[in-house]
This record gives sequence, C-alpha cells and structure tokens, in this order.
Amino acid sequence: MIATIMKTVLMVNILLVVIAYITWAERKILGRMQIRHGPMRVGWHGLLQPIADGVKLATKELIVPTGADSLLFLIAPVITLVFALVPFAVIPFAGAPVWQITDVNIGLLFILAASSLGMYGIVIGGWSSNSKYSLMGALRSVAQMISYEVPLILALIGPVMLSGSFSMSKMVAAQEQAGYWFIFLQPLAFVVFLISGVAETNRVPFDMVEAEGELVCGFHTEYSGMAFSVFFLAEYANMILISAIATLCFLGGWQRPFPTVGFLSFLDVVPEIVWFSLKIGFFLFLYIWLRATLPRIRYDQLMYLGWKMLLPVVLLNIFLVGLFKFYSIPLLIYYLITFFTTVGCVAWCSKHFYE
Amino acid sequence: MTLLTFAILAFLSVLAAIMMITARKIVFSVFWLLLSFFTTACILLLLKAEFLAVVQILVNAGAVIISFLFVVILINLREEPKNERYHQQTKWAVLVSAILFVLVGLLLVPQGRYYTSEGMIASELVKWGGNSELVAKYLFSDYILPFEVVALVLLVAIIGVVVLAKKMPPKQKAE
Repeated sequence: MIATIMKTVLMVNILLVVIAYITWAERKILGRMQIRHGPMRVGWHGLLQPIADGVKLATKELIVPTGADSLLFLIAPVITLVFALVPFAVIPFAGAPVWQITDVNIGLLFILAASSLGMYGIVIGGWSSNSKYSLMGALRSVAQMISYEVPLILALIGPVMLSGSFSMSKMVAAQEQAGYWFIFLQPLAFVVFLISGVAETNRVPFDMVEAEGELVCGFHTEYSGMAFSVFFLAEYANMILISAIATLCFLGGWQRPFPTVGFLSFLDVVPEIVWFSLKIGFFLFLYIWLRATLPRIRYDQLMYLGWKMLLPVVLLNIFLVGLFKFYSIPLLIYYLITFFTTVGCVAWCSKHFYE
Repeated sequence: MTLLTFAILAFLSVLAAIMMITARKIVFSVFWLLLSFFTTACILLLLKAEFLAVVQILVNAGAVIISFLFVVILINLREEPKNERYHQQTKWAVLVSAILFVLVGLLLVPQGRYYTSEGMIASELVKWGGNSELVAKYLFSDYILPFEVVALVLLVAIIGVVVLAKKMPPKQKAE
C-alpha cells in the first residue's frame, strides 16, 4: 500500500519534470531545424529555461472571464491533467514488477478508457469559458478525437490478437517469447497508430484545435497562468503516453534491438529502463520533427483521412493478422505480404489524399 | 474497507442521478449523468467485473455523453424557469418509485441471500482466466448468433441514419 503510494508520487513528479524538459527540447530542436539557437540565456544552453517558465506561469494572475462558469472553468484543466496521468498506473517501465505501479489484466482497455475521459476537460473548458473561439476549438477537438479514436483502438487490436492479452507486461512478454517485435508483423497498424496518435494529442499537422491563425488558441483561449500550463502539461503527458503505448505494443517495450541476435548481447549492459526511455524519446523527437516539417491540414482532409483511409487500412490489418494467427502462415511469406500491402496502402493513400 | 468504498460510491451515484434530473442548466445535467456513469463503473470494478467497468466508461461515459454534450451545446438551451417543473407529476412519480422499490425488494429478499459489495459470481470467474477472456469465449461460442444479429441490427440502424441525414440531390427534370 505505502510502496504503491510512494511509487505513484514519484512517478507523477518524474513525469512533470520530464514534461518540463520536453518543452525545452522542443524549443531547442525546433530552433535547430529553423537554423537558430533556441533558448540560450537562462543557464547553460538554456537548461534552466523550463524552471524560469514554470515560475513565470505560476506567479501570473489567473483570470476568470466575465460570464464564465467559474467552478467548471477552474475544474476543466484539472480533469484533463488527471486523466492524462492516470493511465501511467498500468504502464510497465521495465521488466521487473517494481517498475510498474499495478499490473491489471485489462491494462490497454484501462488506458483507452481513462484517456477518453480526458476529452471532458477540453469540452468543459471550452464551454465554460463563454467565448466563441473556445467553444469552436472544443467542438473541433472533440470531433477530431472521436474520429481518430476509432482507427487508434482498431490498430491496437492487432497486438492484442497476437499476444492474446490486454495486459501491457504480457504484451511485451509475448514479443519476447516470439522473438520478433510486433511492428514487423503489422507495419500497417503501426503507421495508422502513429498518425492517429498525433491526431489524438492535437499536435501538428492535426492542430486544427489550436489553430492560432483562425481560432486564436482554441479551447484554452481564455486561460492564463497556471490553468493554461496545466492544459499544456496534459498535452505533453498524452504525448508521452502515446509514445509509451507504441513502444510497448509495437517496439518490444524494454527489450534491446534485435533481442534474438546473439552477438549483440553486449547491449544487455544497458538497463531496460534506458532502452524504454530511448524508444519513447525517439517518438517524442518524431512529434517535434513533424511540427517543424508539416503544414496544418484542412478540416475536410482530416475527416477524409480518418474515416476513408485509416479505417479501411486498419481493418485490412486486422484481417491479415487473423489470417496469420489462424492458418499459421510461414513467417517469411507473411513478412512479404505485409510489406507489399503496406507499400500499396501508403501509395494508394498518398495518391488519393488531395483529391 | 470495501464496504466503505461501496457506500461512498453508491451515495455518489444516487446523488449524481438526483442532481441530474433536478439541475436547472441542461449542461450540468449531462455532467451529473457523467458522474453517475463513472461511479457505476467504479462499483463494477469493486465487483471484479473489470471488463464491464471499462466498457461502461468507454461506451457510456466516453461516447454517449459526448454526443449528448454536442447536441446540448449546439442547440444552446436557456436556463429552465423556476416553479414550473414537475407540478403535476409529483404524486405519480412518488407512486411509481414506491412500486419499483417494493418490486426490487421482492426480487432480492426471497432468495435468502445477503448481497454484499463483494462479487459473488465475478470473483469466481477470475479463476478461469479473467473476465474479458470469459466474455470473449462465450460471446464467440455459445452466443455467437445473438451477437451477430445485434451487429446486423446496429448496421441497419447506421445505414438508416445515413440515409435519413443525407441531403437528396434535386431531381433533374426529364427532357
């Protein structure tokens, strides 16, 4: 009991510090990609910038707009942050049970359920602000999250079918036993999961929700000070969560690369938690990279991509995994089939996307 | 400990249900309904029916309430005026709820069981490999026909909605 509470407190604190430094990394990487330096003044290469930002946001005045419902207005960011942090209870950070707060046998479903409740924070915040921009942003955000939750969940059905369990630690155990990561068996599902994961977290290029140019800032237009930064913390926590799910379900969790290749076994010196963090770090870098590279897509394109492209593609993936599981197709032939289907699907989607 | 948790959750869920029908702003009603669904899911968790609990949150709290909220926010209802609600329904409502209370009591009492917050069947199911596994097993073996029929009915409903909502193109006159 006490150990669990201590682990929870530790986890939340570490997460918040990590999130603070992701903002620093984002500004640094974005700066590099745009041929400038990013924050340089506070500390060595701006390393103390997140702390300065935190102090600034915490001491700012929290303004409740006229006509806003003050109780709901203040409770909305809290709801968002709580349901962004709750799913981390079932995420294993390394092999030993110590690295996980609790291992429930519905882990994946628990994560999906908890993160779907996080939407309410956005709706409540947008509605209670008593502002047209906020309401528009909230409605867009919810429409987008509902649409992309469907391919996201269906993409995760593939790993669940292969491992035969919803438990996150059993998912990694199944990949350890099989000797290959699930990304090789279902690259289609991985691609779909990545795209819908970016859309779920409302990041560029799917940031219609916050679209500065047209909606000022979407659902958090009226928020200032700490309430604003709590919304931001929740967004980054969701990014880490999506990265962690992708790592656990597709990239073998805390295993080293090529776990069955013998002569790479010197890599086992590196602790499991480091491998896990490195893989999460890769996905976070991908998020920032996308932000620096891609323009925002239009709203109709967003809906078209979600319902008419990702959904059929992910259904095809479930069909393929079912074939593999049921008829025990030889691994090599199956690799070839998935490889060519993935190439075909990507080609088809990119050809028909701008029509 | 379990009993205390159950008591708190039960109280909250009944309170939320009452607040839902008495709230004056309709958006608040939706939020109270959400709280009620959430506490019900927690009670299901307490009964070790974790699959059902998660489905309750995913489907009811996640999807159904969001669509309610959409409708409520978009049609923008004003606040209900005071002293104009329920003025004819009160005695009928009391009568109906009294009858329901007696009926539920009659259902529970003669079986001679004492219902605690501990799950009776659900906790035994855990031995057989967990809740979700068993649900899946029965859904796809013994109950496969009803399951498929329900899926078909839902599909028909979806197609019906699309047809109803679709704007028909103006008919072209025959030359």
